Amino acid sequence: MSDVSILGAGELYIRKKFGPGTVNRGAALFECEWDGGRFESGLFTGGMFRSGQFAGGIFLGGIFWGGTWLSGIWEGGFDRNGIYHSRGDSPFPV
Amino acid sequence: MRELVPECERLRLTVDVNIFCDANADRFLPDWFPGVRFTYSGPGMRDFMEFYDVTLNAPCDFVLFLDADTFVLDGAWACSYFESFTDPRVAGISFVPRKGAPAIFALLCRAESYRDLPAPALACRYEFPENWPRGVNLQPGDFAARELVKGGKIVINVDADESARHIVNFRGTTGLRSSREHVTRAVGEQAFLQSVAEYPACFIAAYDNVMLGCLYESLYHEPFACDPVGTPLGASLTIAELECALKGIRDVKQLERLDERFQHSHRNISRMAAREGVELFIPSVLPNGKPG
Repeated sequence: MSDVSILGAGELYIRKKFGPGTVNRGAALFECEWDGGRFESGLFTGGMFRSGQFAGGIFLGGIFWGGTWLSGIWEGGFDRNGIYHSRGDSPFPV
Repeated sequence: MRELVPECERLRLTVDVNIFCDANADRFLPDWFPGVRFTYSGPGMRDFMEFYDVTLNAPCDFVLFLDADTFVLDGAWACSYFESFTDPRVAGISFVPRKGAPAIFALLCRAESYRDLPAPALACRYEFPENWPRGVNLQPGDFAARELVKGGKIVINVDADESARHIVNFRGTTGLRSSREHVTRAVGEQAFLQSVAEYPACFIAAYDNVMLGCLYESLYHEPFACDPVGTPLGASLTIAELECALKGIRDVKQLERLDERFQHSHRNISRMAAREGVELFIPSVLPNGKPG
């Protein structure tokens, strides 16, 4: 589990795991696991969004397994059944 | 298109060429694509994944899906495969394989066979997501091919050697340009450039964009893949950015592999240039100064 609690703008993380208490404010997460915490802005791509809040930023090509989709840009990705949802979808309403 | 359409018409097929303009629609100039229909992303067709299925369900007998970075050099060869459809079990022909299996890069479908599959037939899927990251990431068309074969149909898989004699592809070039757009929009350019260094496939895609740019500039006398301020290749990696990224590689074996792959691309673009009757100046990008 990473120690980082605030992920800053322009930072890059690859294949890391983030737990509750982590807030993303503009970092890019490639193939990461998000398990709790609040994703406010930045990029989530190719990873597993296990739990937490997605409140802003871009979701691209990952799996939205659980958690709450509040806001943000869905560019494409999979639900917990592995079904693909296209750009602009809102498969996870508040 | 220039190769395929006349050959299809020779078989008395009526051809509708339809280009999906997923982004930067204003850059598709109709004058450059005579006789071509443009389809723009929007409701019901929000991305290329939805475009696949909408197109499949349009009134037609066959659909050829052809990626933007795939070029058929021999239309007669491709069209000779129509004969295979006399066998009712044949559902499709994959002209460019992925890891030895049928893929959607250049896929000719008997539409009714694919329409019989549960919708969306061609979209990607992620099987066993609970096992992420060791689940199965099915690419567009993979699920369809598997289900068709299960149902007794045949998807003819043209092997890589035969394919390479007749088709050139610069796989990943469009993906890299799309990636730069998304990553830069979300987190800025520096993060994009850092991410490139972490994924070696990006070097190949960037180099292939350089190749496409050389040919494009030679043919159309204007820069290729510009960024919003007009920098040539700025929507991919500029030559300077690519050189800089390659300088950071310390692994000699990786450099050798890239050199080999770059030479492969070099040969392919040279084949295309020879057909067009133009000569290309290919810049050196590797630290040792080789053409690749």
